[in-house]
Amino acid sequence: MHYSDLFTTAAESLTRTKSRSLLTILGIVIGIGAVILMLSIGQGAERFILSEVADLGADLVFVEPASGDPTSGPPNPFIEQTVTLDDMDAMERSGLFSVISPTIYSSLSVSAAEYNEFAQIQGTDENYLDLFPADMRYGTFLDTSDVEGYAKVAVIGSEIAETFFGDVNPVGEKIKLKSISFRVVGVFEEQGSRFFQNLDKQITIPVTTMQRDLLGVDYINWITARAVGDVEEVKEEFRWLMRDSHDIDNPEGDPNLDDFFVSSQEDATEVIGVVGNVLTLLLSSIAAISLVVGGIGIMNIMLVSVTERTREIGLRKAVGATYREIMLQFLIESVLLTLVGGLIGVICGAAISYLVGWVVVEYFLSTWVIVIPPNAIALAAMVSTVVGLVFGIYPARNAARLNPIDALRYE
Amino acid sequence: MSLFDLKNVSRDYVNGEVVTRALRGVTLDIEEGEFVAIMGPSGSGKSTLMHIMGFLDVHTGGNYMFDGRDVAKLSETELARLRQDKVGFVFQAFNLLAKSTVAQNVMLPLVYGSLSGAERKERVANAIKAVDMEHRRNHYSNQLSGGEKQRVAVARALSNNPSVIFADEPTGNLDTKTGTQILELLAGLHEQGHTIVMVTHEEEAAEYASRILRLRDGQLESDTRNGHQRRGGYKK
Repeated sequence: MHYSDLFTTAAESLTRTKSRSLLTILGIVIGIGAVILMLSIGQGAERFILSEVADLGADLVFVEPASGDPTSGPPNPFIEQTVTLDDMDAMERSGLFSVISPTIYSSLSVSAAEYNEFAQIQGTDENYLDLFPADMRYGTFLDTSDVEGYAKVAVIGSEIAETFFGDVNPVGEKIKLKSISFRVVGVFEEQGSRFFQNLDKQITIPVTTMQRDLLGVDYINWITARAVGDVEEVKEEFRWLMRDSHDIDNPEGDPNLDDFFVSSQEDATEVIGVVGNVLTLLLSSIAAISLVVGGIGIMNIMLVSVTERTREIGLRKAVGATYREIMLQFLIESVLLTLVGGLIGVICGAAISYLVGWVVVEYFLSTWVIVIPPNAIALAAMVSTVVGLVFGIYPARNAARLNPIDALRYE
Repeated sequence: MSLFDLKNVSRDYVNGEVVTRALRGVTLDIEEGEFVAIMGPSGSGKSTLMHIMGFLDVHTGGNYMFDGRDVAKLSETELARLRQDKVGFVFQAFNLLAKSTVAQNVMLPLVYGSLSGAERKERVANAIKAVDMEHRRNHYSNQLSGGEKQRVAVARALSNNPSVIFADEPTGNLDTKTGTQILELLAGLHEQGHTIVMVTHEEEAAEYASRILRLRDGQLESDTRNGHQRRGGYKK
């Protein structure tokens, strides 16, 4: 028997029951489609985050407040209040850092003319631009005197500018934050997003003004700084300085006991890597389950098909088909089913990945890159073949073992 | 050397404790070119005998030599090869693939052979021509009448150029007129030199054979030459 005959015979058998064949492969289509979609989104997200991190440089160090209580879970810079501008002075004196800038965040109501909406307000100082470079469309950024003098001035994002002032240059205009009037001194060029924050919808004001006049607090959410020398050494040295100035009794240097948390971009990259691996594992197991379920569906239908075609199998044996040929025919049928299912799954998965990627780029993160991993397609083809072989072998053996006489007599 | 040489062949079916003795020692020779009818009442073992002779079933006792080869010593694959090369089957229930065309059905035995595409096409064309079904070659087999189906089945049995054609009650599902046409067709093939072994319980059908074997209770009851064999030569 020619191998091409095996394929034609198998293909003919499958096309004879088209709608059933299509329903049978649905499980595989969904399984493979899900794999492609998940890998695409996963790799897209990883690339996106890593490129953000890389843009900022690996020597950035963040100092955030922490609870100092090892039982309270991961630190949340928006709950704890233990980091203040005094810590920033300590950082400057230590000589471990070249640029230092504080950040305090809040979402407040903003109004100008007849418009009123909530926006992210960021309090920082004049060094911010050295850490997070950005171009100005109009005016200037905050300067030292603004910060020292509690000035009521604001630098606004491009979308905020368009929302409140249209196309005109808003420098010199008034904008009200929580009913306190601020003077617009600058407008950023379009920046897109960073760490899932839309920078274009953000308003930046002096950290001092924000603490005293808007929030009435003396803490800040975090400090960003550029380390001088080895990042790991700087972090460790600074931790001891902080423990000293915060009077923390922590001779072992256990970070869980500190009321602050020092991390770097590198740590973030590592965390992202771990999270990525866990996610990949999770999604892979879901995909594996759906493929097993799909495979069992195929096995089921192939068993039904063998029973239904008992007479056909008997006839084929009577005209000279060997055990091996019958076995191969049915095995090829199930592999063809899973392969076609895999192919449709790849196409559907890629199409949906593009769609999702397009939506993300269009509405959420303009710097997102759509990735259709080519190795995933090879993997899908391999996996669907294996599923077809594994779940096809039992029905195929049943078919091949039929005795021609019994098969021909089967009613 | 005879084509078929059976000595004391028996076949027992064992089902748990119960042993059914379908054949109880059958001895016979069939030469190439004979047209043999196997007759007998239901349960006489005539189908079992034919299945054993056609390598669809295996005997449990005695000795069966086909064309000088001891069938008991052949592997399952070798038996499959014999079915493919040496024999063709015509069944009472036609056993055509319903959603396949006449040509595809006739091609079926060749699919398991090693002929090239062109040779296959020629064989199929010749076989379809031999049963006068060229006008139906691309019809689906479930669009055919009973007589036409059986003619296609005969063409299928012919397509691999077998030494022997086995027909198991070939007229059983047909009316008298179409049944006669099939018998004429078989007689015509016999005249062209084909060896034919036909199981039937109809005396009229057996009249077409050159030799009639009668079985009863798994044993050969009689073996007679048919002196007044109906001369075939199938004509429309």
